[in-house]
Amino acid sequence: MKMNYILILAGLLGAGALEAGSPIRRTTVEEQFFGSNPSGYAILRSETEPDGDGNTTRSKTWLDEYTKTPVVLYNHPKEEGRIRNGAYTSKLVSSTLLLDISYDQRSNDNVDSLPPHTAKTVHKQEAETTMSSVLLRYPTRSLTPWSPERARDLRSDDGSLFILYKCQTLVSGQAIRARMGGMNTGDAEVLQALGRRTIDNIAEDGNCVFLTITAATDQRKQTRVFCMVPMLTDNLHALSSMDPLYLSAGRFDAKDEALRNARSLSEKIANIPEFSGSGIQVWADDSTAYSRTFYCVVVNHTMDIIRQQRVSMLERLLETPLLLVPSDSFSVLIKEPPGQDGK
Amino acid sequence: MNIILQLACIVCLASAPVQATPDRATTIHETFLGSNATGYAILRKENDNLGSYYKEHRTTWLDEYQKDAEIATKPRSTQLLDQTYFTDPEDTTHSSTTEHSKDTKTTLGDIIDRYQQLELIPWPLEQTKELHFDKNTGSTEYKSQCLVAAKALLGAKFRHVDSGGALELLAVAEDSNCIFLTIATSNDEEREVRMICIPAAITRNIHALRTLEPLYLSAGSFDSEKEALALVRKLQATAGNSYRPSLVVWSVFHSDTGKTDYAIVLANSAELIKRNEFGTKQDLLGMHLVPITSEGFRTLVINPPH
Repeated sequence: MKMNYILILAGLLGAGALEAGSPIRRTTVEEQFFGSNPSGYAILRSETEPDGDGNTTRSKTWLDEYTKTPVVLYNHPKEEGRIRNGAYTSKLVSSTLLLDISYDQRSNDNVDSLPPHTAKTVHKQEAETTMSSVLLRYPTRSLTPWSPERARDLRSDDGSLFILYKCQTLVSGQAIRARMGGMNTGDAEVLQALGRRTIDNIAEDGNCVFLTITAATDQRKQTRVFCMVPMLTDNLHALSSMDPLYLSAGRFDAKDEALRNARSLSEKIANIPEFSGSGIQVWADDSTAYSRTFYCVVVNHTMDIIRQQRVSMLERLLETPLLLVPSDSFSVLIKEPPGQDGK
Repeated sequence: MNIILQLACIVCLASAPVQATPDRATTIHETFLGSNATGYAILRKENDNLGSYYKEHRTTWLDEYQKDAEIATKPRSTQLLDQTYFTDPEDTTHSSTTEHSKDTKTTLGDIIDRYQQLELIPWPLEQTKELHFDKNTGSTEYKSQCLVAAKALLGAKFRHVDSGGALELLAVAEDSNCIFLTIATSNDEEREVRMICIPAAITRNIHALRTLEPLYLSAGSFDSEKEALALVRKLQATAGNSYRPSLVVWSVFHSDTGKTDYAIVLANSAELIKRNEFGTKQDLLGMHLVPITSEGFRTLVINPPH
């Protein structure tokens, strides 16, 4: 597994290409987060391609607006399976061409002293979308980057299209194909067509994680922003704050059975003042030993309970034995379906 | 007894508004919007709580700067939004916004056309640590190169800081030719996050200082920059087609004498020394090359156009 973290170079390369004095032969697609609100976000997408003899480039910039309402990318029989496999995505709801420009770049003899002459032809400049209206729609302009410690658990593999965080797929092969191309081809062909991939950035707004990925070959360079819709981000947060070990009250084949057991234990623990800070969770446990999913009922803040030597006391009060289990194979924190949690 | 009760009521009534309102607090937050070779644009958000828990005056500005302007230079400012944000005192989860004014002229298309570079490249943490930032004065240095002079920020850029002690360097990033520092100040009532552009000439010199080798081969030192540059031009003009030397001029500070002179050095000295081509290049240049250390190198002198 290899994790690449690089600086976002696309902007400079794009700008530098116009100043460098050499013909531009590579097509670039660059997406950049512009702003968000709780239900949607906006991306600026620039596409630059050579035109004619290589001294002219055509650059188009769009404002792409997406909804954060989850759209199923491909079906999976279980909700937790869809979350674990990154089968939810956001949906493009509108795309506005803001600017369409050609740059005619001519070499200058004295490359040391003067920038090359660049003639600009504006084909279209959209005049309706005001800055103020976009800022009103998307007031959150800055994303909070993940710390290097947190990002360390991101995994990508040169031999596959997937990008994972612990046991959760952030970007699936299907998502890569949908955004970067290669819908009807196999993984190997897609990998070759995309070229070298790097994770540029992972950051989040109030309810979504945004992952920026660049894929580059000599002919084409793409920088794309992938949004982890709120339900995927909720699970990323749960995985991020997950303890390495948990006290387990049981492992069940069926989710309903696990949730029933968890509800019963939750009611008990809520009435024990000594454990007022603790709660009961159900995690989907993708045991590789059995190649199937179990549902594990666990007590949270386990390490505090162990440190305070109160495990036996809790077992007695809950009237159930508690086993210490590792959380390595926990993939999805199961949420109570609406109306089932007694609230 | 009645008088005591009345006095108590008066005291309660008088003190009630004081307890029910917070101190007046303002925040200013600048974010990078875009840049080109000579200028850049910043979005500035200013929030003022008007001394209330339930009301906030919010304005958003587009500030356009020239890159080589002094820190204190005022930008060309366009007010994009002017709003008051209300929170329902009975239910703080409910809020509403009143829009006083909204700019209808500045389009996103205009901004992208003017400022093609819409993103900065952040410096890696290790590189940021190489900067020396003084929390009291805002003075920022890289080796011998001053990025921001002591106290140049205070008053000129930050409205609410008269004395030092509260400055924080939040981020360092670059566009194609300038470094941008994000610096914050905060106290109980005020928080300001401001962006400072380091001019292209200083940025270029920081890049040059960062990539300095410990040793260089020098073709000579001169008292003036002009003399050194004249010899560089002469050497480059007379060099044969087989070898075009990559000569640069550095100002060199001599700590023992306190004087500065100008040394002509081969830019790729380290490579030549490694390949043992010292003597060959000396012959090609027709000049005696002397190894010197780069410890005193201060500023890379840029060869002006003819």
